[in-house]
Amino acid sequence: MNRSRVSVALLLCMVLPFAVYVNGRIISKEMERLKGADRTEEARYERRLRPLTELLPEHGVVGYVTDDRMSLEKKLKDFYLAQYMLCPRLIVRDVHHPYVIGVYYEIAQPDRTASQGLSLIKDFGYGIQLYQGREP
Amino acid sequence: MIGWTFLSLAIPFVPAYLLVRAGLGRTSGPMDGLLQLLLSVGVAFGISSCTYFLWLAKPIPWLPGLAASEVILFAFLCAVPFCFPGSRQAVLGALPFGRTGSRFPSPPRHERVRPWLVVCFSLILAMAVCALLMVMSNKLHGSNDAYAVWNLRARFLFRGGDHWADGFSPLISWSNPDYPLLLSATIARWWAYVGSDTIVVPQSVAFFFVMATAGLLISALFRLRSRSQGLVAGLFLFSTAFFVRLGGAQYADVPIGFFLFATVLAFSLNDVRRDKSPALYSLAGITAGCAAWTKNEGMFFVLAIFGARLVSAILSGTEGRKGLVREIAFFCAGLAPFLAVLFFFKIKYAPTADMFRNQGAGLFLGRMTDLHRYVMIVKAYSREIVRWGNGLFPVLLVYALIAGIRYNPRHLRLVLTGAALFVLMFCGYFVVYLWTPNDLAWMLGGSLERLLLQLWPTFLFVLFMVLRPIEAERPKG
Repeated sequence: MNRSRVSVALLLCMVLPFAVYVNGRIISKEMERLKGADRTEEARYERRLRPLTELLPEHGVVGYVTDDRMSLEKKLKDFYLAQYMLCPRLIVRDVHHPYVIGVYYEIAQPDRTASQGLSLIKDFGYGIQLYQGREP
Repeated sequence: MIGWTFLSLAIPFVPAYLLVRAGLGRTSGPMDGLLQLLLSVGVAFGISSCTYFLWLAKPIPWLPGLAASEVILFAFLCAVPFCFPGSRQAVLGALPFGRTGSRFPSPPRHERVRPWLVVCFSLILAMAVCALLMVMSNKLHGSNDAYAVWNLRARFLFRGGDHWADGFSPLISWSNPDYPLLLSATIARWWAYVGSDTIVVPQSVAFFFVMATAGLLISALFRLRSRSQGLVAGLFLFSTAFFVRLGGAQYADVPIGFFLFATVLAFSLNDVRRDKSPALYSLAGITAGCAAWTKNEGMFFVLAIFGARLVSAILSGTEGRKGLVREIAFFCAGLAPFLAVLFFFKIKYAPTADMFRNQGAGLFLGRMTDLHRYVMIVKAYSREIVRWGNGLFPVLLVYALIAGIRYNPRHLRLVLTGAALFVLMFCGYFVVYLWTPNDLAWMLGGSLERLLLQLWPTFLFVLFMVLRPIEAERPKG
């Protein structure tokens, strides 16, 4: 049997089913995700953060505090997304700035934020708060 | 919005197309036209991202508005392709009234592609496009690197006003502010034209690079090897789940892979010619410059391709000293403007890369002489290669063994360039992993697969240039 025929057989029996399987798997996974809440998570987060832009200065450094009870992965993702959504402000995990934003999944505990030297400017609901930060 | 989008693409496209045309000559079929179109759009993104960054940096304070500045600059650039020796005819042929014959070897016309292969390829193409669009619709802002690095930087450039350079602040060092700006500036420039930071723009750029990489691979093999070979290579590329996923997630690894491949392709197109085109060498320099302007790895690629061309010239013995000097000179002419912009960015705006932090001599030597690190890297290399593409590599290996090699002596330098490039890139990455001050396991886990993906289209191209086509070529005539 010549090599070309074997190659063709291999293409039809191995490569093609592999390609169908790989792309089919991506499509089925993404279909599942399409039905779930994952897809709208970033859009919801953006809606929660949007009111902050009215009170924050257009540029400069803004502090960031969050809920310690979240997983590290979730905390990082929320922090990166907060920087992305609130750009061109620079968001840093520090409270020594005139403005500090709080992003919580639990209701913020006043005693904890007070112990950090933060005083509440406005509670926007949905776990988003704006504080006056501590003096550097 | 559509009008501004058209304008933002058309302004840099014209000089880019003329330049590609100067190198490739007249098109001799739709796939040739596709190859020129994709290369031109890629080059247009590269050039316009540089001009947008320079326009923001305003080295000349009295620059007019963005569109006006670009029209003036690109009108000037349109003259550049005419400066290459012997390219005037080819460039004029690009104009509607131009009629010049192709100076380029025609693609093999004698080979017929069997309909079943076209049907199979079309099916996989449709599935891959569907998968890509679904990934994009589920990740509207892209995945981690997209919103933490590339699109974030694009937002700083677009939204920042006079504070656009805040995006390079060491305060956000986690977002790698030292990374070059091709992708971010391309997106921000497009936003500047349409007047809003719509998510459609980064999605369109990501979609372009995925499809353009595949299109370039297929059309290049159509031209240089055979039609069936192009389609089979395309099948393998679209079988790479990571390629589709990462492209849809708006990472920069697919765009840099496009430019790496475009550079090797520009050299390859010249290697098969008898009369070498200086414009093609410059085109290779431009695409290598675009790679360096896309990601830091691109800088390393520039060194590696230099080395690979030297090695291939020596081993193949096809190029005399004069020819080699000419090749290097024209390559550097294309590369230099991009390196100038890159160095300007690195010196004036970018903070020190994390690779160069925490590098005391003792620590550095300790890492370089740690045998455990060598073992870790070798293990990671072999693991990633074996499981590449969720088992695609073994499938490709079996296919390659069965298909066998059908070698064309005209392709010697092209193949040697590819082989030397892979060796140099792998060795270079090895040294970088030894050198890194970051946690090695974390670095290997997060980057090695992506580095392989960057080289994947080039690897498929070189491999399918030497493999026997599924339909044996019959002699011409």
